[in-house]
Amino acid sequence: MYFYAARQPILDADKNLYAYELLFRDGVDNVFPDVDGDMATSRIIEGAQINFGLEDLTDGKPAFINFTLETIAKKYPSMMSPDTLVVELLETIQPGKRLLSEVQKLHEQGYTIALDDYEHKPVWKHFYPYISMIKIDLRSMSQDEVTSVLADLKAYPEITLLAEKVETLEEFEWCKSLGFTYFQGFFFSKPEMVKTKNLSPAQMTLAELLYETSNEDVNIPKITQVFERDINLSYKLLRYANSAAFSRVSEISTIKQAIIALGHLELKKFISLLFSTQANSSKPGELLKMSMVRARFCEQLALAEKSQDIGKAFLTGMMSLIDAILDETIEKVMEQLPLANEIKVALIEGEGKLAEFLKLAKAYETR
Amino acid sequence: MKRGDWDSEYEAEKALNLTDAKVPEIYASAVNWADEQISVLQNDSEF
Repeated sequence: MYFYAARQPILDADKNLYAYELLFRDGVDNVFPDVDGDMATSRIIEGAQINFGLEDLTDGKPAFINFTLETIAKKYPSMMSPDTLVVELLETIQPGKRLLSEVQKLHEQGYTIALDDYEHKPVWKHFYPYISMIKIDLRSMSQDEVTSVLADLKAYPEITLLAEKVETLEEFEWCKSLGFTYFQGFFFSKPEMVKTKNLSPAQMTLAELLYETSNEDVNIPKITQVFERDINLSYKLLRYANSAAFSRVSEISTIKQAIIALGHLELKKFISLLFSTQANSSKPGELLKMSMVRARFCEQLALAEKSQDIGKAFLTGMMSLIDAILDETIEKVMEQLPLANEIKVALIEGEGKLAEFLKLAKAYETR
Repeated sequence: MKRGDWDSEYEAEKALNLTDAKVPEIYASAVNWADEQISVLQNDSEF
């Protein structure tokens, strides 16, 4: 499962990169998909925060993201730091008291706010004290209209102007002469597609369970709760706990019973197996088998060494090929998975006791 | 580690204080365990 987005650079008058506007895409076609604005905003924030990492998407520059009134009211901007985000108010939002109140709050929290595809209406004057930037779409106004709007906005020198849809050198030079500070458009660059591997919601739930079970003190009510949120996982757990692999006297019928009956180690194995099998069904089964061998081998070595980290050793082995399974770097996968730090250090840096177990596993693979 | 790099393997076992443990048997049993698990997974299409 891939996550797609597009980014278009925003440049200053010297054509230095200032920021990127992030645009939602739902596939390889570099066009805005047929989804509503709320969905597009929430998906792009999810992508920036979870799938890509904002740093990767914007090379450390600010991200311009379109927001609808609903997504602002739901406090989505607060999922990102004010230093990294420019909140663009979509042109489809009707200016009114509710929007003004939300904009004031965002301003107080330190967010930079921009008006997208600006339409010059008197009502926006109420917003000017909280607005840092106005984006003017060169394709939606005549040159005379642009000149007239800019003349009116001269009374608000603290508002920065950004020219959108700049398509020629002449337009760029003309906008510079009018006093625009930032520029965006095909003259500089078309939106560039970016894609990354995305953990599905089911995998994210499993990742949460991996984390919960990697703690020494297992929080059974919490784990039960996570399972109960996912009917599919609950079903698999009950089938597994009732399977012939465990001879039970009586049938297990509740999630809590299944968790207690399996015990900490078996539960952890079940979850990590499920995670790996769901990670990428198109990959050769050999990778999965190798992960399982490593998991069991590391676990048994930890046991032989009387280590306290038996569960972590198992998980280290199990996750040691997840980069190959997901076609991502181990660093990126680890950013998404809430695993114990010793496991991450072992997998990324090859340091620590858990990495020693893994080293030995690799040595045996080459025999 | 290179294929058949016995020195590296011994060093790894020594670093783990496992020179006395039956590491080859542990590895063989891990392979068997993985085979069993895979056969359970393959026989249950729900997984």
